[in-house]
Amino acid sequence: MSTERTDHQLMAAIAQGNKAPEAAEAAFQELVERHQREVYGTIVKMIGDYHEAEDLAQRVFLRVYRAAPRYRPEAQFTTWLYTILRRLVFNESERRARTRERIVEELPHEDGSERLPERERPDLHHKDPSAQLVERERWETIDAAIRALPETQRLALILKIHQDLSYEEIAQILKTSVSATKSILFRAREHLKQTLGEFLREEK
Amino acid sequence: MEMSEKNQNRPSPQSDSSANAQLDRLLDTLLRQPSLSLPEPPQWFAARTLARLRNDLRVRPFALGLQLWIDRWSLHRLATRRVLAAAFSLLVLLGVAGFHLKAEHDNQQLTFDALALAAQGEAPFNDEETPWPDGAF
Repeated sequence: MSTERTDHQLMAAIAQGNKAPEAAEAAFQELVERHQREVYGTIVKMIGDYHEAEDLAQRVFLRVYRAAPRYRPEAQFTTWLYTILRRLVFNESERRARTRERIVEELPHEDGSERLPERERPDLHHKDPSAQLVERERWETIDAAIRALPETQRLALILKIHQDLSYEEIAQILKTSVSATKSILFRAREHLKQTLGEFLREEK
Repeated sequence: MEMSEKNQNRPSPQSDSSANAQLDRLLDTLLRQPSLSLPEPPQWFAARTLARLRNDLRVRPFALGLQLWIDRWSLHRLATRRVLAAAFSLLVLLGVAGFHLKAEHDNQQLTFDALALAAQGEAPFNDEETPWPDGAF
């Protein structure tokens, strides 16, 4: 018999934080360990900055803790979690835009393209150098194209591709309708096809 | 003749849609490749988050306590907020009305006192009409 608690049970334990702080902390840690990869990874993909992503991901979880008493297990926990994530990431983008900061920390590259630090790329060191180079170029081209998408399209695409969420769930997270979500995703794909057109034809 | 050559060079709608579908499939394959998967968080991420939470709870217990209290009483709900705002407005109105009533009551009391003094044959005290007796200072 599995003893693993559901997300809803963990949230109920966290909501009792003022009565049983130790149990709440344990539940919180379990919840963080369970969802950290999706939350952190999505934020990295959204903003392209590891340090900022770590801070924002922590803030997402802190907000979850604080909002636990208000949490109602009516929908999927992840939908609620990603709604918090969306608000924080979009607010952060707005704040950065206001202070004229750049969303993506761009590192200069020999060919003028942008790239993220090395720890982003898994499995590259197992391949020979030429294959690594090809793989890296390919990865960078696609990732740069994704990061160039408007943020709503980018988030919708990440949630669809990496989290495999349904249109209904993405619509709830983006606070929009299912048809609007489909349209957002369609536009994102069209955007990518335009940006990566030449690259895709080479890949054929 | 020229037209037929142009038509031959132009891709047909079927080939357009098939090329588009091929691009779609290719895009799907590329987007789902392992090197594009979500990056892993640092090993210490959960521990750091927990430490940050503990720090927040220690540094801002009042703010968090207040928030918990607000949450418990569902003050975040709009309806509750409206009821509270209405109750507060009513309280202010009652306060203002009470102040006016008290002032009115005091005025009436003064009038009654003056009338009572007049009935006893004494003029009510008046600075202007009652000069200071000689040698008062």
